[in-house]
Amino acid sequence: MQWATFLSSFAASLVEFVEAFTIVLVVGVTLNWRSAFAGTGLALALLAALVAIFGVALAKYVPLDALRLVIGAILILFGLKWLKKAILRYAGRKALHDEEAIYEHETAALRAMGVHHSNHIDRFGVAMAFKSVLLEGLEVVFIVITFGLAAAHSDAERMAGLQAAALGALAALVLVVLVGAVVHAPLRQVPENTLKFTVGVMLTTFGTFWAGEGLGVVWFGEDLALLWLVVIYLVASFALVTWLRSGTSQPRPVKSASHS
Amino acid sequence: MQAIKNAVVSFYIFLVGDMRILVGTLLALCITWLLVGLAPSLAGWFLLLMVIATLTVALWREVTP
Repeated sequence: MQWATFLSSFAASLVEFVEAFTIVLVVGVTLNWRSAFAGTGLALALLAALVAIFGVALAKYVPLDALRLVIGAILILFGLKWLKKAILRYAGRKALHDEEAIYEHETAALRAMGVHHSNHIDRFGVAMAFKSVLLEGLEVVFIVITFGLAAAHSDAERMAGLQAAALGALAALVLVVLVGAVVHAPLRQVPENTLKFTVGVMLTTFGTFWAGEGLGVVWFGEDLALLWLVVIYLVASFALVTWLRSGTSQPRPVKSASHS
Repeated sequence: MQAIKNAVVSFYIFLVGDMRILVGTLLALCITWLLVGLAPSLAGWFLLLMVIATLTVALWREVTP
């Protein structure tokens, strides 16, 4: 089992599934749980199919150097996106992601539309749950595929990497569902910004390393370069937080639940 | 053709949301590719610095009116 791949995928997926869970909870509590589960199930099936189709196709048919360059570039893009938002939140320039506020907002919006509890499967509820899980899950798909494929040196390793990454995502989903079923409320105790910051640093580090390898860069220390790349990105990120904090402005208000 | 281009741009903005990050990253990769032939280990340092610069510019544009 490729534990680094499993854990990276687990951490990244956890953040996304927590956000999707909030909307599924809104649908379940306001409408009914059958609609929430139906929409969620459909989205998860589609996401699993995307991982299987694209992951296997990339693993089997794309040459390793080209694959590493493309995957590295995608990981840098995602990593910088997550890092940017996490740094803005740490610096107080953007409000922290508040799952409870989003839950209250979305519930109020549904009630204002005249949506009320029903006993049958409701198409609107199914669509809302489906959309939320699909949108949050698409990033998970990208992360699972890229993490799963990039660390490998052979087709067999690539398939093993894909499985490890997919299992990490699945473990995150199971954890969120179990905790959510017990708590039955928005998961506000999850340190989302810390997770996003950590995953952002990881994605950027791995993306830089693999994109560089794909281009023919000779990294000092070879695979150990990942360690000093992480350290440099951490130091740079903390420096950027300090720099942003030195200015003064109010954080932006929390937006309604949407792709983060 | 325009519809395809709009769809690709919309999909990118949905996933990542910041065109500066895309431009900075692509620029970093292109220049690194050119440098690799001259100095393969220095090219790595350049890529690292360009990625940090891209993040810095994206943050700066976010907080500057």
